Amino acid sequence: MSIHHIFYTSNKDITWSTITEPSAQIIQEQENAHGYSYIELDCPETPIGEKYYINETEDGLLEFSTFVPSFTDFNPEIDDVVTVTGLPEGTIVSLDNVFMGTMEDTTLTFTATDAGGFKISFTKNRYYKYDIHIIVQRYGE
Amino acid sequence: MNINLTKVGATYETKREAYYGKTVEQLDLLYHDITNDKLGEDAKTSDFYLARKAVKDKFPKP
Repeated sequence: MSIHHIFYTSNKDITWSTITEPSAQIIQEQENAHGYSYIELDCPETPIGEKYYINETEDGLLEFSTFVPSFTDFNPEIDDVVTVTGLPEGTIVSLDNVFMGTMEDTTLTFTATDAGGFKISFTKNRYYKYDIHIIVQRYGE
Repeated sequence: MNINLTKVGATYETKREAYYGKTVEQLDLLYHDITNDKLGEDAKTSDFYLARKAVKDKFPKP
């Protein structure tokens, strides 16, 4: 653990941090110029904004959540339907790096329409990105 | 929410190809059609039929 000096937005997103204690002038300038708030925290590692954010009470760090989806099949045949459970509402779904939509509930299915490999990605604010490949097999394979 | 796993650039040809069975299975269908006289008696003298029949006779189904 080590002390880090963290600047963050009103949404509690970390913008930058340093292990060197900033002067009162720098803290004031960051607030005036960008609206950044400042906090000093004892952290297990460098509190980067791609992994951590500031909690609601603004007295600690929270780490991003991890998607833990369950798939009924990773190698479906043509016309099969793959059901995915365990995803939170608001998950953004991409197929081969193309945005497909945002989940309005926790139900997600994929219909195997064409054969081949597909890269499926899940993203959501304050979640680690999740990628997985599904291989749709030709009929009868 | 449902998403179709569709390939960009997929054509009727690639879609058909994905639905056809394996070549060996399709040829077997043809072989049995010949055996069942659906393609005429002469088909049983074709190179295709005789070659396939030779293999089947060599390794008969147990």
